[in-house]
Amino acid sequence: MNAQNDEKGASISQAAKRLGMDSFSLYGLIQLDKVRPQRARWGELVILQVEMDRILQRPSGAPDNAEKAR
Amino acid sequence: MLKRDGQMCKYNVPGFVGRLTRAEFDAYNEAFDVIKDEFAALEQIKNDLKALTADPGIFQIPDSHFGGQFVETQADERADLKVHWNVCSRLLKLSHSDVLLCERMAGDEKEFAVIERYRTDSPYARANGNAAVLLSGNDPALVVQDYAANAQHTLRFMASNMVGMAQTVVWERFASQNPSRVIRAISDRCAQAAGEAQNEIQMQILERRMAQRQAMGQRQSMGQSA
Repeated sequence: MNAQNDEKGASISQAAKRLGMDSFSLYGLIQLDKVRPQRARWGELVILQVEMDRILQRPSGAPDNAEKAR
Repeated sequence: MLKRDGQMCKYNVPGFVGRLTRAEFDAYNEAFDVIKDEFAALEQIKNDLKALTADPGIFQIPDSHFGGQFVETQADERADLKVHWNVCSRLLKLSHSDVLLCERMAGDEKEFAVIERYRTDSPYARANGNAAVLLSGNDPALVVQDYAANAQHTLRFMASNMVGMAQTVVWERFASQNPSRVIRAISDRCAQAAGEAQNEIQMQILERRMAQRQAMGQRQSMGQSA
């Protein structure tokens, strides 16, 4: 479950912000196996973009609304 | 006073028995800064959970603030089928969601559920629905108690990942300064924050069970003497 080198992934707090939820809620979804994180180099959990797309039920690679707004 | 690498060990940080050098203290502060928001959230939720375990039965009593409110969740067996729940009370208020105790009639019996209700405008809610059942059962006090125990696990999980986040900062920026004590200090603080909550909750559950047993024993002895 190591994160791929070519993608850093979002930290839990960054991913939670993009999903519009609290980090605590996202940790709960991970425990329920509804969200599948990867482990970065020092053990920190990260959410890859492909997983964000799966959670948000959109085609992989579709632009993030948060990014579009920037 | 102890010295390490030619520096005085004179800086105290919460939850760590040792003292840090100036360099270690700077590394500690920089790493803790990354997790400070999650740490604050953890402490807030930990405090809120105490109320759930102190008297889980009280949440069954309808809260006037939620009178007439309902939520709809997706049925397990069919995603297009909605299940209607009446809100009894709020267990936790988070920044972007509420955790609610809800009830409905399932046949002849009442069913209770802990439901997380997200803001309808959140990207997650738009894709997955704005309410999800976290757990359910027919005894509201047990449902609340189980939720508190699960939430406690989540806090410990959160604390362990916070240590991972802090380690990332420390090893990437302070690797040349032998940062093991900095990591230990952060790890101890996070473990204590999550661990204290667990101890308190377990103590409250134990006390309540003992009180229930005593009450049952008194009732039995009164029944025998009657």
